[in-house]
Formats: sequence, C-alpha cells, structure tokens
Amino acid sequence: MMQLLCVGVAALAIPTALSHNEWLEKRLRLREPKLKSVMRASAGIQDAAGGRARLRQERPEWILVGNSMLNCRVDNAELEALTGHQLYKLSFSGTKSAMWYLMLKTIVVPSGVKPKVVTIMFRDRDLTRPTVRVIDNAEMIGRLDGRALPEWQQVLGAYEASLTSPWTKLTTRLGNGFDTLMPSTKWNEWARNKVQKTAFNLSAFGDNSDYPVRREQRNDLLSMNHLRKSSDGADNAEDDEADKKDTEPPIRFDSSPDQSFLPHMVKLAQQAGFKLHFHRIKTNPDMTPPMDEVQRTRVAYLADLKAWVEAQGCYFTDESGEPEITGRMFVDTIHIHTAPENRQAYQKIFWRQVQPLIDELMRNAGAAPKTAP
Amino acid sequence: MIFQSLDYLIFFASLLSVYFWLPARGQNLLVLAASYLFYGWIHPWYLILISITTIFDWGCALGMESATTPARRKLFCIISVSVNFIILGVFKYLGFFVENVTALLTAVHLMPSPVLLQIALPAGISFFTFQSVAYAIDVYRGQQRACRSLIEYATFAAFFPQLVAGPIERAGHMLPQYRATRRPSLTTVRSGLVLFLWGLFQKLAIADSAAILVNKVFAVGDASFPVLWGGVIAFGVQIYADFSGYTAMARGSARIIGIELCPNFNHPYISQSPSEFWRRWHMSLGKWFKEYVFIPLGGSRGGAWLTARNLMIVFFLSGLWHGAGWNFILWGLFHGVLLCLWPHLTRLCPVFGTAGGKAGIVFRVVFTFAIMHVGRVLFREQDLAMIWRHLTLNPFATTLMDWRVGMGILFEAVLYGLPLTLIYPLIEHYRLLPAADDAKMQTWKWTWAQAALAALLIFGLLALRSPETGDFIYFQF
Repeated sequence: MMQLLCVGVAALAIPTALSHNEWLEKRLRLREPKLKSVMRASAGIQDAAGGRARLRQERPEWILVGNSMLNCRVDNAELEALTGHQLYKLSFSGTKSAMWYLMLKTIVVPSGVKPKVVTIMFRDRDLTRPTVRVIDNAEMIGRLDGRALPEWQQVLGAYEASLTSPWTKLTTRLGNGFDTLMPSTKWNEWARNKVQKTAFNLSAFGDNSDYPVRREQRNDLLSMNHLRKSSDGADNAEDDEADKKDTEPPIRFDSSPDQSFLPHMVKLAQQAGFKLHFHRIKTNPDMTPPMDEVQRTRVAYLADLKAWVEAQGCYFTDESGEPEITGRMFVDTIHIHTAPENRQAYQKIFWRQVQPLIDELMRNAGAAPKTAP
Repeated sequence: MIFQSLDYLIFFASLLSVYFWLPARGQNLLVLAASYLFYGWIHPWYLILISITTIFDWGCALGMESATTPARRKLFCIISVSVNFIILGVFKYLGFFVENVTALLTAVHLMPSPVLLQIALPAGISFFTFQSVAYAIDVYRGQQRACRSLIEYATFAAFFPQLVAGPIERAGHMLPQYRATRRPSLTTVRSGLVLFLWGLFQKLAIADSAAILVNKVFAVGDASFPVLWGGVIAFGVQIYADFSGYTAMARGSARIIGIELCPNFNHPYISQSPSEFWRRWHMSLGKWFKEYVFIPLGGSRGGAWLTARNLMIVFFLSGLWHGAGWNFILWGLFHGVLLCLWPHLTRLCPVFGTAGGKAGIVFRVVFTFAIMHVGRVLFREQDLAMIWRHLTLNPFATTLMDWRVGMGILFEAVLYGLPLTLIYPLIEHYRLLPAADDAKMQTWKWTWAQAALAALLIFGLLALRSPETGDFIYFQF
C-alpha cells in the first residue's frame, strides 16, 4: 500500500511542482498561450482589455465586425486604401452573433473610441441564432467578460443552463481543480511550439533563416484556399447543425430581446451613438440549394429582418444578388479565396455596394438616420 | 463515454470504490451494470441491441451443448452466427449496399431517383459481434463449454474496457477470469494505472497531435507529393498511437479490476514483411480471421493458388470489417495481393527474405513500413477519385517549398511519435508494467522507477496534449 501511495503521490507531485515552478518558467520564457482561433484572429487582441487598447491605438472611424467570412474577404490596409476611410477589422474566426455582441459591448463601446459606423458582416440567419458557436467559443466568451451581462443571461441563460447538468457541473469543477493544481497552458504552448519549430529546423536542412516565411507558406498550403470543393471550410459542425434546422419551414424573423442579441446590438449602438450597419454576404452560388419552399420562407425572413433593422434606424445591405461574385471566387460555401487578386476583386465589389451608404454616414455622422441607399 | 474524459475518471473511481468489497458474483453484476452504463452513455438504444444479442447467443450456446444430435448442434451454431452477421449486415452494410445498387440502377435509368438509407451504426458493433461469433463457434467445436450463468456471459459480451474497440477476446481467456473473485495485488493495480496513463498519453499527446496534421493534409484538394506523403506518415503515427493508446487504456482499466486482456500490438512498425506486420498489428483481429476464416478455408495447405485464394478472402473480409466503403474493400484487397506476392518477391530478390544481414533487415523494415503506408492512403481516403489522384502523384512535379513543407509535417509527426519508439521499448525491456504479481516491482528501486514513469507521463500529457481531441478511430468500426 505504501508503494502504491508513493507512485500516486510522486505521479501527481512532480508534475504539480514543475507546473508551478517560476524559476523554470522564467528560464524557458514560458508565456500565456494566444487565443485559440480557427484562422487568423484580430492581431494582438487576446481579451477585452487588449481589444480596447488596440482600438484606442487605431482610433478607426469605421469598424467591421465578423468572423472568418470577414477575415478572408477583407484586408484592413487594402480596404482602407480603397475607401479612404480609417477602418479596423475586428474579427475572430468561428464567432457568431453572441460573440459579435460581446465585441461591441466589451471592446468597442468601453474603448471610448467613437466610430462613425460599425458594420457587421453576416450570413443568412446568423443575427437571430444566438446559440450557434457558443460552446466552441466558451474560452473567448470568458475573455470577453460575457457571462456576467444581464442581456447574456436573458438570451442565453436558459440555453446554457440546459447544457449544465449536475454531472457537467461536477466534471467542470473537477477539470478546473486539475487546472489549478497543474496549470499547464504555458507549458503546453511552449512544448508544442518547440516540437513545431524543431520540425521546421529539421526540414530546413540547417538553413532556418526563412522560418517565418516558410511557416506562412505552409499555413497557406494547408489553408482553406486549398480545401477540396466537397469539404466545408473550417470546423463548421454547429453551423451545419443550424443549417439543417433551416431546411424545416417555416423560418420566421423574431425581434424579441430574449430570442437574439440583435435588439441588444441595436440598443447599444443607439446608446453609444454610432451607426450600425448589417451587411449580408453572398454564399457560394454554385453550392446554394435551388429555390424551394424553405428558400422562399428564408426570403421572407430576410425581408422582415431588413425592415425591422431599418425601422430601428440601422442600415442593411445585401450582396447576395451581386452577379460578379461568382462560385469561382469561393473555396467552400462561405469563404472566398484569399489570393490578393481575388480578395481585391471582392473588396471592389463590396465597396461599390456599400460606398453610397458609408460615405453618406461618414459625412452625416451624428445626424438623424436615413434609409439605406 | 470515452476513456480520455473526466466522465470516465469519475465513473471508474465510483466503480472501484465498491468493486473490491464484493464477491465474484457481485463483481460481475457490478461490472455488467457499469458496462451497460458505459455503452448506454453513448446512446441508450444501443443497450437494446446488445442485450438482445447477448441473451440470444447465450441461449444458442446452451442449446448447442444440450443438443442430442450433431445436426441440432450445428443448427444452433448456424442460427447464432447468422443472427450476429445479419445484425452486423443490417447496421453496417445495408446502407452501403442499397446506395450502390440504387446508384447502379439510376445509372442505367432503371430508377428515377436514388434511395438513401441512413441507419445509425452502433459503436463497436464489429468488435462485439466478432467476439460473440467466436464464442458460438468455440462452443460448437467443443473448445469451450457453454457458459451457464447469464450474468457471466453478459459480462464477457459487454465488458466495458474492450467493448467498443477491442481487443476481440476469446471466451476461453475471459470466462475463467469472471468465475473467481478478483483481488488483484497492489502491484498489479499500480501497473494497470500506469498502463492506463501510457494509453492516455498516446491518445492525447501523440495521436491527437498527429491528427491535426493529418486532417489538414487530407482536407486540401491539391496536396503535392511530399505534402501528401508527409500527411500519410503522420496518419501512420496517428492510427498506431490512437489504437494502441485505446488498447493500453482498456488493458490498464481491466487490469486494475483484476481482468487481463490480450495485447493487440507488438511493435508493428519494425516488421520485415507484410505477413509479419499482420502478426504484430491488431493481433486479436488477425487471430480471429486466422482461426475462423483462413484455417477453415484450408489455410496454406492446399498449394499456392488455394493459399492465395484464402488470403484474398480473408483480407477482403478484413477490409469489409473495417468499414462499408469501397476504399476499405480496396485496402483489404491491396493487402491480400501483397501477401500473395511476397513469397514470389523473396524468391526473385532474396533481400526481401532473410538475406542481406543487418542492412537487409533495415531495408526490409523500411520497405515494409513504406508499402504498408501505401495501404494507409486507401484506409484514410474515402473518395476513390482522390485515392487515384494521390497514388498517381508525380514526385518530380513539385517545388522545393513543397518538399520542405512535406518534410516539416513528417518530422513533426515523427517527433510527436518519438515516445512510441523511446518510452515503450524501455517499459518492455525493464518489464515496468507487469501483468501479474512480480517480486521485482515490490522493491523500492522499481517502485520509484514506476513512479518516475507515471510522473513523466502526466507531465508529458500536460505539456504535449493536443488542443483538440476526438473519438478513437476504431470506434467507427
């Protein structure tokens, strides 16, 4: 029994001591891991405070909020050069409406930067499906200080409660206990980076001077730009699940504040004094299902959404009817190829679509809202 | 429930808190209840299927034993085996069959629209079906006495550590273990715990890390030769660590509660020929096919042609066992052809046999490793057009950057897989995880060695665990 205890104690004590060892941490220069992201997140932003600091530094007049759909479509510097407006792309891959609301609430508004316009780039029913990607983004929601908000509880309280059974609570507590006992995120980041870097060194056959370039090229070779046409981009399991529900009519627009974050976004924009603009993207026309009963109800849903948004003094644009956005520009259902010429072509189309509205809003910032051109 | 979850840790700790206080019958009942909870956790309706087949197979075996004539005995055996295969066929292959028949009829304009049949596949159905079939045949052959106790048999049929992904056990090995009260020694419990940790390390640190690379490579549609093959080698690391990790966790869990499961792997990547590989990889399935298909068909006694036929049948069925897809069938046939051709190859070129000394051994190990990984492409890739694309890639139509990226993927996977070639041989060499009581392990020197290994595995897990984890690959079979 003594020996069994010794094995158990040693097995737990040694990793615990190592994971709390500050001397080793300093010597190996261990750092907090970066925010997990499917693709590239907004550079340098790790949490709400970091986001606010970044916005204060950039002081944009136009903020674009979104996810990987925005990441692949828009390059900050290119669009800025094209439009002549100082803008900032606040986008995190894999996020949906709940996280977009948090970005507005905990980064944009409290930053003190008063943008003239905030554009949210969305797809189909993103704005009224608050539960999508909430599980995936649990860590990010924590970093954006989300759960304490009353409106978060209003919209997602019941949903999150349904996910947390007593058993889940028990396993979560146990998991948190392990994390406290053996905090390993820094070690994990360090060790995995070491493995990757060593592999890169070995594959460079001694000449590793171009490590960052090769890393970038490897990321590009394995990026969504090269995905098979049959696969659907990033980890879209929750989206797929939500899309399946979209095949069951009727699809109705619901503007009640306990059903989605949309009314809360609108209210926030009104209180903070910026114009809120929603831009619906066009999905890959080659992969869009033919018009059927479900599609017809979706059209009605979008018409209701547009009418409601505009009635609230916000703006709505829709690129889905744009013939120049063709299937050849896409790598999957929703992401476009990020090759510079493709992205630039898209940005030109996008800017042509929104220019009258954005230019007018920039000129009349602070004036009474008008209907979108 | 999966091994690498806190759910399992709580479940298993709760089981242990009661288990050792019970007599043999009580232990069996508890393990049975735990096994059904474990399986029903995945999906409750799976329990209906497994309990019905269990009662049916148990009854048929008793029927065989009490049959007064050989014909009746045979009938019971045929019924038991057929029902198991029908269940397997319906759940695993009916969708595939209907899909292909309708595709064929649609192609010749005999059917206006394709029919899609979607039947949920119960986890581990191929494993527990094969185990039940083996039991029925063993009882029929008189190699195994029919189990009188339904509880004992049901515990054997649904034993949670090996229920969903094996090893495929024989009743002759397992049932006697259920008859006595299990009071494993503390050194055996220790050994089981560290074996479980070793499996956990293989899954979370090696297999899941390699999986990230593999998934990326197989998701792109235009992978160049070096990138693809870097990904294939990474898949070799992934599938070995994944399956071997599962087996280690299964054996570790079972050992803690006093049940010893058979090993499933024996360093497959140092094999010098395909046949040796199959004696070292998924050994319990290999033995099953040898015992219940290859030998009854005549084995290698009927000359070259009959042996080749038997090998092709075995590997065709083995491919089909792995999955209802053309890629698995091709994978099986590929290995069948390889095994048929290998003796001829050794005659033509002795270095494929035993010639060449140490250099010959290295050559054979590398060659076998490479050729087995050609098969991995068929195993991993389900799209036949993509398989053709992958296998016809031109290694010269690539850039230096492609080679560097491909080598980078390969080296990364190999680095993650290093513990398989460094730690595991040490464990074996020093017999650090003995199955039974070992006086050596009661000495303090070896106790500390085991403690150091456990600490190393836990810290390795913390430092190297993958940010993403998924089901075990073999769960789908």
